[in-house]
Amino acid sequence: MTLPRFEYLAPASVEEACALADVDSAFLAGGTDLLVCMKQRLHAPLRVIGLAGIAELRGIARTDEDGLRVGAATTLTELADWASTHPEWASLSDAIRQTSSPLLRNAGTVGGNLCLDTRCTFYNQPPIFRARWGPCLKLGGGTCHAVRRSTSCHAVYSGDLAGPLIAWSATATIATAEGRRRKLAVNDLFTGEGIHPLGLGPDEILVEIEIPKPPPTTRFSYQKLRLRDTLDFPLAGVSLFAEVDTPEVDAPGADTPRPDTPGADASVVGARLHGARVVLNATGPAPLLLPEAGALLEGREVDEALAVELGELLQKSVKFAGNTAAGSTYRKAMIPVLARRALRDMCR
Amino acid sequence: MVEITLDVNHSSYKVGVEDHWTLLDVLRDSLGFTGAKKGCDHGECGACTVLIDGTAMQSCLVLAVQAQGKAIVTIEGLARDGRMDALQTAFHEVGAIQCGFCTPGMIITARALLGRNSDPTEDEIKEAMSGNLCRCTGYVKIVEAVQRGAAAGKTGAGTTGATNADS
Repeated sequence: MTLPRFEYLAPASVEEACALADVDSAFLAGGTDLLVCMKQRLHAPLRVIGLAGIAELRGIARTDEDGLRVGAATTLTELADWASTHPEWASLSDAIRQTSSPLLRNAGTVGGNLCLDTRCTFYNQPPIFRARWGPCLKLGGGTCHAVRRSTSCHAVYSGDLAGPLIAWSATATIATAEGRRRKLAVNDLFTGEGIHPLGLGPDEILVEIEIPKPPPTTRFSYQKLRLRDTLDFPLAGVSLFAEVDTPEVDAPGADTPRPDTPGADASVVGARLHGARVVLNATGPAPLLLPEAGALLEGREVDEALAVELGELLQKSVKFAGNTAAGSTYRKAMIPVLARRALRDMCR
Repeated sequence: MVEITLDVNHSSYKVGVEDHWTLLDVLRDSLGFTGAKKGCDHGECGACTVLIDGTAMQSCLVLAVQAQGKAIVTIEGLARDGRMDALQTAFHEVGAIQCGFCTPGMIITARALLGRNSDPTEDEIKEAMSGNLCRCTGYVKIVEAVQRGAAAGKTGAGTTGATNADS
């Protein structure tokens, strides 16, 4: 399907880009979400403002505190490649490489993935399919087809990066049309509304994200549920970031190497967690930071009982709508499995 | 309609395009490089993959106007002086082709992989190629062909490909 007609603009600076933008325009970064939605006639902006030529939006640099500053138009491949060669950031690279496919990561950007629109099996369809059931709330209609009689949109926020970045306490810098900059936690970018998932005005641009340097004993795990090992959007995701004490284990079997293949039998013992940040993603219209899960894990040594408690807590925190490629029952049943796998990663 | 200049397969082309035309449509319909295939047109199948400044990209999700000033290589640009690229030869010899529709995208993605990793493991090949779908499901032979192409590249047999990836 061809793209709808638009005028393409290529500003050279963030300020210029903001000044060009209004409700009839869209910012184009990697194009892997926007152009697909435009081909499906979900969006038809009159002006497309390309961000690729803005140098300020590109690149990875160290902050004064040894954290990372990542330009929003840095591609997912660039950040994953950089992080994989820096040990303290390598687990972030593993998370990024679970996003989409290698080809799409070559085009897709960090900012674009964060600013991904919400998705729904009743919304992300070609016009001919959508015509069968009529416009939903997100398309300006009066009904939610995913949850009957619902007055709010249940489209799922399906970005992969937001969960990990919130777990790493990342902040985002937004440029506003008045030429100002504001900084906020990545978690506060999201409105929780399926129709407008991001709290950005049409003339505001995500400029960069900052990720604080993780404490030396940090471990991080992003567990993503999807049907295929590539390409797919998450059906659910669990991010777990924590400082880990690995005590000198004197338990029987401590000399046995821990199995590192995925599976229910791998060990989840032998680590004590501090300052844990647990984030769910692709469970609803926004990623979900769960301080109560962090509190549950605080100072506890990981064992089977804790895995069960965490799984139950996470499962209770979400309510799935039946609007992704897999059924809600399956997704819900997998939440404790993902939680357990994340805890297992803490014990490696 | 604006006139832009595209650098495709080491030659420069002046071509009139509309802002909303994709690079894939311009390559195929305006310039005749029909080796880049239109499969899903939504970035899911990889059949339209081309090299843009050495990186494998899906041309259905790139605007033609964005591709100005960049070196674009399609499957037609891999052969040099009448000799096929080592990967093309390998796909041919191994029989890594069934209907052939995914093949140009597969070979371009593999060329980019070998450009940054001349000796990939089987898992690395599978990971790198995972955005290219073969609906005939001939993946075993495709992986074998990439391994063979990599080996041929190392011995320098029948290849000009390494220079293409670097261009």
